[in-house]
Amino acid sequence: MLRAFEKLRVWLWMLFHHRRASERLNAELAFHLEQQIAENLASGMSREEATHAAMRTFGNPTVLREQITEEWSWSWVENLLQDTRYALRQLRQSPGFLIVSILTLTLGIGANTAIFTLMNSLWLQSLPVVNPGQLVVIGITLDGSRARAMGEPLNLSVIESFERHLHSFSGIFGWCEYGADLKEGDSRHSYPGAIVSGNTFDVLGVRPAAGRLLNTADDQPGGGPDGWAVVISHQFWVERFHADPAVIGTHVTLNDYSVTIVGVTPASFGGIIVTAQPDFYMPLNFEPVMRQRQKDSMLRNPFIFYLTTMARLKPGVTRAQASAELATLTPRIVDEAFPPTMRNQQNMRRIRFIALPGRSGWSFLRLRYRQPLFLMQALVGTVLLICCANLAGLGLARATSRLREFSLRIALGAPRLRLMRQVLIENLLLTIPGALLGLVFAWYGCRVLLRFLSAGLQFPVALSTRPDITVLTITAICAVSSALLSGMAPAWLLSRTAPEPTLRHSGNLAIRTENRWMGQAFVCAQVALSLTLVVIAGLLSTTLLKLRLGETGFRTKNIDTVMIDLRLRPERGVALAHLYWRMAERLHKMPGVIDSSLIDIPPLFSFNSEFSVLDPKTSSGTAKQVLPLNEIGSNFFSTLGIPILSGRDFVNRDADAGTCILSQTAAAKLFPHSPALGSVVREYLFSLDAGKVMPKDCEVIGIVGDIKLQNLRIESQPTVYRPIAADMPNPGLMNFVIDAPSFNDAKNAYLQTLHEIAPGSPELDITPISRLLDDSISLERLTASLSGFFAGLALLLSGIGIYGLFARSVTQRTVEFGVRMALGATRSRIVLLVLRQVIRIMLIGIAIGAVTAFISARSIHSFLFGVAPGSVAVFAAAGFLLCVIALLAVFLPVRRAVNLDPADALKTE
Amino acid sequence: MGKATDFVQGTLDLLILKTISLEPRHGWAIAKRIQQISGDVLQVQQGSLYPALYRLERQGWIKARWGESDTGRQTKFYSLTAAGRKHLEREAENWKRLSGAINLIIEEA
Repeated sequence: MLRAFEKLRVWLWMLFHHRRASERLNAELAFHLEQQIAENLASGMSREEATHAAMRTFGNPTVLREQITEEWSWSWVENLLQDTRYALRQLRQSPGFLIVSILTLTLGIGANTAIFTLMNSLWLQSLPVVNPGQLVVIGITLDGSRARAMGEPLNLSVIESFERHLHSFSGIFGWCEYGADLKEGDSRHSYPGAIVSGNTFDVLGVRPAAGRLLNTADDQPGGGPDGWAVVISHQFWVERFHADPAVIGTHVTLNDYSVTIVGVTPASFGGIIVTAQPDFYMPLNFEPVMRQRQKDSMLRNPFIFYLTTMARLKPGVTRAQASAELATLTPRIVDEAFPPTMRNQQNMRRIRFIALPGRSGWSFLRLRYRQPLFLMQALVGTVLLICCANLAGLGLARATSRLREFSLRIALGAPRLRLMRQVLIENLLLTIPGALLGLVFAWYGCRVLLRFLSAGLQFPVALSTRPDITVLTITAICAVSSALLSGMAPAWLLSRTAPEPTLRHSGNLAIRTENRWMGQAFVCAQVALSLTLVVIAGLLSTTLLKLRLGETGFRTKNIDTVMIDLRLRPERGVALAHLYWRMAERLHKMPGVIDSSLIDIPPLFSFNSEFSVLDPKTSSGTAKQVLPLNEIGSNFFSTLGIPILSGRDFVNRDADAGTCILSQTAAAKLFPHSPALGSVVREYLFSLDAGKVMPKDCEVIGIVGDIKLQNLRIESQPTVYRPIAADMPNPGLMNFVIDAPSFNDAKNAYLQTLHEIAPGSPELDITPISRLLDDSISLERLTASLSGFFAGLALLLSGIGIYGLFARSVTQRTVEFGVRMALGATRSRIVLLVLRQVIRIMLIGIAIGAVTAFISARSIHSFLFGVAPGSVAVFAAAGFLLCVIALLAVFLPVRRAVNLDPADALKTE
Repeated sequence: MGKATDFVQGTLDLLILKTISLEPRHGWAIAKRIQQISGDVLQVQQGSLYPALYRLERQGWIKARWGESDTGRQTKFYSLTAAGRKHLEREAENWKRLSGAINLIIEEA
């Protein structure tokens, strides 16, 4: 053991102190020589004689030195350097090849790195806390099935009940994203924040960068010793306060209440929700204070589930044991923490609490991004494969043209392994810069991707884009495997090269048919993979077009929406409805506003309220049908250009109470046999207070056209519209829709109305509805543009591959063409000869590609809208596109073949 | 100076190890010592000595230290490692058995 260590030490010393070791060896040998001379002098020789005799005895010092240094196992490094220098010289000779290869590899490896970086930080990266493996997310599962388990948010009553009964955990805490409005002077700005249990930082084991973190004493009703204590993020501390420690202990106004900044989280910590990095951490008990004016605190509301719940396993307890305990105790916790009306529901008997892995934190966006990210990873993986096939084809061509050189080296005794290493080093010299540039590309690519993913969200998705060791490893694996994949063919060719026939023949004739066959196979593979990418890109682009340009049923041009938040105002019930009406009236008369209205749930919100219709014949039976519901003011239909087919609009008066308007399909669905207009719809309302069904009648006063209000992917649904009236359950949130040719007019009209009619309410951002449309399909836009970009790249690479193959083939067949032309072959005959080869390759490539494209298209059917996975038009267009690229690529080689002078061609032999 | 006597490699290693087993010596001193003890029969050439020293060092049997010679020159002194000492005992034992056997054959046969 000790000896092994000693050997390693000596070896490393030799390796890293090569020069010093050489100097010492020289000194040692010189000393030896001097001793010899001294001895010779002592035996009576003259100085000159003594020196010569000593040197004779000593022999050739250079040979001796080499003999010794060879033992230092430096030779392999020096051989490697030699090979590398040679490879560099080779690559410098073909700068075009060099640039194209490195660029394609940059894009290929960079795109893979970028997507993987996001997947890594969304799923794989551990939280920067003590022992993250001990953390679990407590979720809910139906019937104990692990597959359908979700990290559903829970609430404080449930967490408190857990704390009373569970023994598996050393700590449990709840966490909820909660926006923080910071008021500085007159300006207000929203920052991402979170409300957290007092013990959160203790359980996580996070140490403050400055000051202290929150503790249980801070999380008490009424606040802790510092009043309402908050912790700020490191980033906020640096950007806002220039990392000034004096900020600790100061007061700021957050969501209209004064709080004390008590500390700063460490720079590495960004919360447990990997997609949302809070700038402010506030105690849970601060929430009721922030909500006291609105009177809608969720902290103790047993019906609202809002806390992502994490816990730390006690040492020695496994996640399975914790899950078992949770499952056993579920009935007792449900009894304790759930209100009676909820726990008596049918499904409640099937739920079980479960401990899910919490090492890498949590995010609700995991579900939303899983499929798009996997799709993109597959796309960019295919691109990298095409890059490799391309590089392999080009590498094969280069190896073929260097066959004489290689044969000569083999004949002179170079081991084949050394030649293969040579090819591999040349490939690595392409892939390593490709990977390094790819990392840079990925760094920017991640930012672009995140911007796409953040479209329409209040705070941008805050995934970390820093490449960690996992990402770097994947990038390195990409680089090395690309080098191996693309180096395989040339290496194989080398292993089969017999030097003698190659050297005997003149250059080109030595190319054997199998090499040509292999080059064609690579081009076929590129064509097939490219076709797959082009088909996928075609399908995704068609989907995007169908979604964006498809019929929505309402006007999207010049329409803006803006939310009005009246929760800080005292009006509720009738007074609130009247306030909304007054605002609508004022807005309507503003200059530049053509039309305007109110709506409860804005268009394209991917969410709708529900309206349960009771069978009119029974008074207390079960709900008959559930339809989407929206509450609107007068002029909604005229503002959005939706036709009123019969009846009338709402009027924003008390007379609206007890009425409703149905969409065309809703009318047909509810009243299939009788006219809907003037009929009565009975709403099923379950009153939690009374604990029984309280039906409510409303008269149908109008029938309107169908629209896709909720989501572009969901076909227009039968919808019930109710008026904004005294009896609506509205907490003070409403939206304007404004039809104004100028965006600025719409914005000024909104601001003036807000300040005039409802002073003291926050100013919110006004958004053109066309942007909402774009944002609602941001993932579709991302996948379509990404696949489009890479399909373009694939086409370009295939073009280069095809060009390379045929340029070489024409060169190799120069003599053959010359002979044919001399014997009377016409030019068109020569063109046909080349084209026949092109067509054969394209047919095989497209046939294979069609099959893989069809299989891939089937697997992404959930992304598609308005286009079938086997769409003939898309497949035909993709095939046609590839053929056009192929014809363009062979144009130059064919022209050269046709313009051959037979006399010159024959002379080349 | 006579012609170099060829050593079996293992034999030279054994001689070097034995020579430095009492005290650290530099290359010249090792060569001289072997020559003296053997009564000028065994002459170690530099071409064999230094490669052997570097090989033994790499194998961890001996270690080198930079030090001052009697004449005040800086040179390398070699000494045995613990592993080298054990190796020497083993090899010396082997050598005794082998040379004894060869003597027997030469004298008796």
